[in-house]
Amino acid sequence: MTNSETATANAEPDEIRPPSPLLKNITIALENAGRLANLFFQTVYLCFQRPFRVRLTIEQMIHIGVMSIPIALLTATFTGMVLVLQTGVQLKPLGMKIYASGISAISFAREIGPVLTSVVLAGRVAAGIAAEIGTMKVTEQIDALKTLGTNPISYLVVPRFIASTLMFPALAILAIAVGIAGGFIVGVTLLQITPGLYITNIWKFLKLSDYLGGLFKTIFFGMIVAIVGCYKGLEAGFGAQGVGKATTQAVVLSSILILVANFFLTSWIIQLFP
Amino acid sequence: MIRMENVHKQLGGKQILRGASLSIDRGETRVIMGRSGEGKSVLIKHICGLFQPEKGAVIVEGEEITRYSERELLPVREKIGYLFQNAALFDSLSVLENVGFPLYEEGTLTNNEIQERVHSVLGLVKLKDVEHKMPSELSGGMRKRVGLARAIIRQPKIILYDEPTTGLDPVTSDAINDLIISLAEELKVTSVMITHDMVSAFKVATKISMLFEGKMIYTDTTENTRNTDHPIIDQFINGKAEGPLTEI
Repeated sequence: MTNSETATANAEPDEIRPPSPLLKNITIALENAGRLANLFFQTVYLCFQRPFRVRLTIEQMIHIGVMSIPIALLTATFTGMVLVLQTGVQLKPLGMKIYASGISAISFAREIGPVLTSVVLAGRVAAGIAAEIGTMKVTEQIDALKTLGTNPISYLVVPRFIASTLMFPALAILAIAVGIAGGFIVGVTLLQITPGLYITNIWKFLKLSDYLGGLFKTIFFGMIVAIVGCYKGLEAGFGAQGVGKATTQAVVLSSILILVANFFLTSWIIQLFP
Repeated sequence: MIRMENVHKQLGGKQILRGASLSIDRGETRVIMGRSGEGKSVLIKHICGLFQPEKGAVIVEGEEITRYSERELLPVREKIGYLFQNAALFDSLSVLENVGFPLYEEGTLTNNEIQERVHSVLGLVKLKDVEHKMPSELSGGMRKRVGLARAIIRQPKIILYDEPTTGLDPVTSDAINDLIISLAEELKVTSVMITHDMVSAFKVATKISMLFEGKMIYTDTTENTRNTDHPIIDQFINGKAEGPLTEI
């Protein structure tokens, strides 16, 4: 018998080793991604099934959309002002500060308006949804829905999903308009660009496709925020700690997914509208 | 009527049920007792399909529901009313909307008919003029009664009670016990109740079972249980700190 054969003969039978922490984390991440995708597809399917919960959807549109107007507009106004100021200061030594309006308008309509508004709203909306549904879970209200014959996805997730998908673009329209208006104030007062020239340059630079491309992305951002918020709420652990953790995770995950999705959506939109 | 055979259930990596078996006849009021964290709530959640066992079988009204999908469970759940430990009322809905919830969801009755039904079941649980109150405006006892009204509005054949008297003062607890007895008599329902409250258990039960270490170790009539010499049951019902339950 050779040495290697002896070693093989003496070897212990294969033991089941516990998975490494890295492998365990990857497995958990994949499981979560699978469950999140499952919730998304079930939700989309149930959007087209009876009963159509119009009253609940309108309530959520008010909660997600109308109640978010102040935070969305405040963020957009000051970001628009800073954007024009920074652009104007950089272009001034080149004698091109008059183009600050057009350049800023394009970046606001294409990227900053939709993405920033969505990330700011993710904080408010995803946290609110996760906290509400998470509390319902730990107080057995989700179980109560099931025992009363109601599908929790149809009752809780679908209205929030539809409301968020419709209200994110609506808020982005307002945010882009207000952001450009904020930039106008800074351009005219601090950069001393004449109002007529400022507006003319916006018209010259900004195309409808810039505006529509940005708004198109917010439809997906709205879906992401609603689904992640609902998913984290439905998966919340026990007690106040479980709800708190779910809320934090909902905000972090939805913000990251918005930024990742933004890259892929932008790459696609640039191909469609170069 | 309700049968559970060799049910095993694991939650969060912990084995909760290790072969629990149970058989409850029609019209019976069965009390299931056991120490905190033994898995009593987990056990009764199997009866309405909120949990599915890894091993074993759950049979309700002659139907094996062990592997039923959510859709298949709908008609089974219509036959079951569930009173949750903290009533699990929907915070954003009024008492009327909470109690009438399953009827609004079915959509077969008019609003007036639903209001009449709600008024009638609120009367059964001895509540008046609370239809337009929100759950946050109700006391603990009233919340349990509203939860009970919601559980019985579809005239179920089985009612599951998860610690219906926990957290209530003795007078309110006794009123809830009377309600459970009167519902069992008037509606001819089969009742399954989890409780630590021995006064309540002896008052409402026709039979008492004990869940211990994931298995049902004891079932007998209320009268026999009162006089049992089973060391674990004796320690539990008499609330003794010393005994086999605390030696393990």
